[in-house]
Amino acid sequence: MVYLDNAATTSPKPQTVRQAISKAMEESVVNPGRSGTATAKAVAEQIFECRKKAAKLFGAKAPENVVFTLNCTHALNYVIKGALKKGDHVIVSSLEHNAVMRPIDKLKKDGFIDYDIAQVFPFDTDMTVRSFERLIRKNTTMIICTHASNVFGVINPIYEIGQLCKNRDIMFTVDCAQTAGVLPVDMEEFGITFLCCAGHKGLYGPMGTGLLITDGTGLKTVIEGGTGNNSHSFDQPEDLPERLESGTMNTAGILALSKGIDFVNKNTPAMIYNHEMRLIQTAYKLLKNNKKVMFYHTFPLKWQFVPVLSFNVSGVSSMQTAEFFSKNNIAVRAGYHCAPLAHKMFGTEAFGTVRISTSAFSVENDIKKLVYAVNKFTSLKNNY
Amino acid sequence: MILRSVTDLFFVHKMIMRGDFMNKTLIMVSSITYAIKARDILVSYGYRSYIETTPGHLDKVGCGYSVSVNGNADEAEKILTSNGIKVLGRVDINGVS
Repeated sequence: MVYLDNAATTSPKPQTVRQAISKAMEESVVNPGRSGTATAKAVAEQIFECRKKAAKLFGAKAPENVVFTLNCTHALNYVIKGALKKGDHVIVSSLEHNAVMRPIDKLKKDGFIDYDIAQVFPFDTDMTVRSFERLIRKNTTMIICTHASNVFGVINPIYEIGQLCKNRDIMFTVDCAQTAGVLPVDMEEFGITFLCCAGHKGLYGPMGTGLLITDGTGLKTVIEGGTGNNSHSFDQPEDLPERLESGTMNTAGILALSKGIDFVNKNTPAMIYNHEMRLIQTAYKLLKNNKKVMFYHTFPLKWQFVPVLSFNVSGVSSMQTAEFFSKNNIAVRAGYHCAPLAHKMFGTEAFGTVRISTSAFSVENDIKKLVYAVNKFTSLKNNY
Repeated sequence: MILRSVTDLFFVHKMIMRGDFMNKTLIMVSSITYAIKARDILVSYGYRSYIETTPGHLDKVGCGYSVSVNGNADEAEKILTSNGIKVLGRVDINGVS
């Protein structure tokens, strides 16, 4: 199969990641932090090692600020529901995923907070930052911004928005679902309070892994329970990461994620990004020759886009196009990608888009097969 | 221990300086995460340090973890607190301090 749905989850996973999962299921079937056995301690050390790697990769202050979650959505919910107080005002970008919009909108409907949506002006940093700045109120306590759109790949100027947040003493939450392992992020330098990302996308870990990294700012808890420490008390521990890690952890997933981060470090995010972008640019160039293919932005330049490309075949719904690809053994994503705001911004609410996204394992032949399939589809007389 | 060479002497000197012949002290911390971090910090300062579960009769918080340290426990504790580790208590073989 030609797999071009890596923005949903990267596939395949590196061999080291797959081996780590099975090794963990054979040798590390213990509950780290819950018992004092040598194996449990050894596994806890490996988990701590993963925290250290993640902290280093994202320029976090300390490994204990790295909290393991189930996915990026889980991490964002912890932040949104844990950091905001009644009466707070929040600003989000016009490219946010429902992982942000649904929890934030629920809090608004519950009368707990209010929020505004700041228009993003692709590739115009000043306009975009001004757009956020204009919406700041006295009670604005948080700005939430995706690092890059999961639909159109547009990169947001998070460094500059971070400086705005620093200057105005506003918490800054960044959704790095599409950029972790691909674009450089330094939490301290960028002024990020909370960084959320998936472990199973650009970090090549297994599904069911995610990260919430804080700058040390406290969070109310959303879930309470056993943490393996301070057990005499009914109060949830104050210290991170245990405060936010109630219940048995996904040990096998975390140990495999650790190998995924090793894979990223070994290949370097810059090399991976360059490789993936080259393939996306090739796809854009080749598909542009087909007059029935519609794009929604100019040529995807490096550092303006992440390797995610949306398009449609003229007059055909994205779902129909993707179905044809599926029959031809090509995996892409079609529809709305859980990001209605982004579709509104690019005018694709009616049909959604077909999205392709590459990984470190994608090759030029994958793109050629996709282009061949698109050309075959558009040449069929009765395709729509 | 029989000293056979200057190298042996060097190692014995190092062990004395490190406090290997002193009483073991347990420094109690809040969780396994902080025990690992504390151990790493102490090791980086030249201490011999290990992670241990806090013995039940000394464990005030429940499911506690400690780091053991041989040598100057006052200094070790100071190093940990200055590195942001919350120390919950300290135990040596003569009792709780």
